[in-house]
Amino acid sequence: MIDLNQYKDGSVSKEELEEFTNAFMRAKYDNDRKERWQGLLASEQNFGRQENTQATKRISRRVFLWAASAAAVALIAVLLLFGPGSSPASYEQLADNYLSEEFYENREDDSRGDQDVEQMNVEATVAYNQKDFATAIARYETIIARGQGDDTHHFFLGLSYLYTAAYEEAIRNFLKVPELNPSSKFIQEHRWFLALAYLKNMQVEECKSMLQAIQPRNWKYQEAQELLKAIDR
Amino acid sequence: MLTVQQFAEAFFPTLIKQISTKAEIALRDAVHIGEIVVHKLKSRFRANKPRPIHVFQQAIAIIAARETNKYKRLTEKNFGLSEEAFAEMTSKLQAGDESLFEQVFLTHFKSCVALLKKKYRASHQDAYDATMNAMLAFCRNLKAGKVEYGNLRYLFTQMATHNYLKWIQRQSKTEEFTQLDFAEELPRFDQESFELLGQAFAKLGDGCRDLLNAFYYNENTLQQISEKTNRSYVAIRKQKQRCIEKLRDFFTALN
Repeated sequence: MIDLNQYKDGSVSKEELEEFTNAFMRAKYDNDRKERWQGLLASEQNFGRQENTQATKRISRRVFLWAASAAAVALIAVLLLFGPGSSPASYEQLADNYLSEEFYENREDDSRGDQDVEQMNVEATVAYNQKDFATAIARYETIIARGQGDDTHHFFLGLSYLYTAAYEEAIRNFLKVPELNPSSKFIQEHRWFLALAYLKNMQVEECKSMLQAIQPRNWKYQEAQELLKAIDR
Repeated sequence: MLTVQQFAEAFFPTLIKQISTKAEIALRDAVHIGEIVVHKLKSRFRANKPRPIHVFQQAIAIIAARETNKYKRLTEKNFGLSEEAFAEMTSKLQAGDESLFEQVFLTHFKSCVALLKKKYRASHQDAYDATMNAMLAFCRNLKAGKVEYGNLRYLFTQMATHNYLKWIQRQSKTEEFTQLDFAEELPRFDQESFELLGQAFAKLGDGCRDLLNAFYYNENTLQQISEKTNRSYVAIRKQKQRCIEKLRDFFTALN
């Protein structure tokens, strides 16, 4: 086969040009696919060509601890600035506070489905409760891709995305909760977290509608009212 | 007393509901299984004589359980895809939409890498590359309609294993000559060439881009393209020739 210089020269037959273009174009498309798939594996499954060693895990943990300390300092600063007697907090600050102050734990004892799905369920729950959201996301997505996902999976997948600031994905999954099960036990929770996801995604009107749907006896009603007031200020 | 025909008609919706909810199977696939179950029930009672309902109920329970298990075993072998979902994935691929394929295969990427590492003691990078190349080959073969539904999981791991073993074989052959000072063979295409090719491709008109995309990306044959576009095979072949010449001209100008 001709080489790249001959291709550029143009002194090649039609057949040679065709054969070379064939190889060149296919190699380019394969290269594009590889890059895209590597990116997806890294972002969605935290899985790279370089092995994830304990060292990287330790670094991640160190980064997490550092970030957590920084977040705590920031939270104290926010509380000092916007505590009693100070000016009222903005709705963005309120949403951030709500998200950082209370982690919604997964206490579901879910043991349905095939044996390996059951195993994945356990892994997802453990990862989620340990705030290893990348693993939790990968497991929940796999369960859903296998057609065995239900409202609980979408709810915790939505939360995993919300805690990792992937707001569009969070919204998409929260919306699935009532769609799959209108009488889901997470209906009240899903409204509150969907409202927060909308707010973080700058969809203020959608957030307001969702907050207004939270009834006086519902979970997080007071906070919803507080947030609505802050939005309308 | 009912005939099998009457029983099947009356019981079909309940059967679908039970398959769908109890076995947690998508409705579309539950309907498909239900049809097989009813077909088997009818052939078992083909005389169509009236019988007590419990006779049919007992028979259908056994057939439904067997068919549901068979379906589950089959989908498990096929990355959770039913035959219909597989057909949908293939036709999407052929139309240039790789999202479903990516979703399905990337989900199983990690386990294939783990298998190569465990079974052949492959290094992480080698296992990763072999699986990646298997996925590329699988994508191309699916587009070309060369892969049939049956046991995709086995086929995929076989492809990755084959890639890995071939790579190892090549490695050991080159190691024999490492002491000799051979000039390193340069890769045929580098990243820069790919980028320039991408830029040259973007300069082409819509007609050429569509045609070359259909041929090289979607792996459609010229015959398939001519049928899809309602143009003669000869016209498509000539256009393709002109397009690749233009592409080369743009690529050369960029250099």
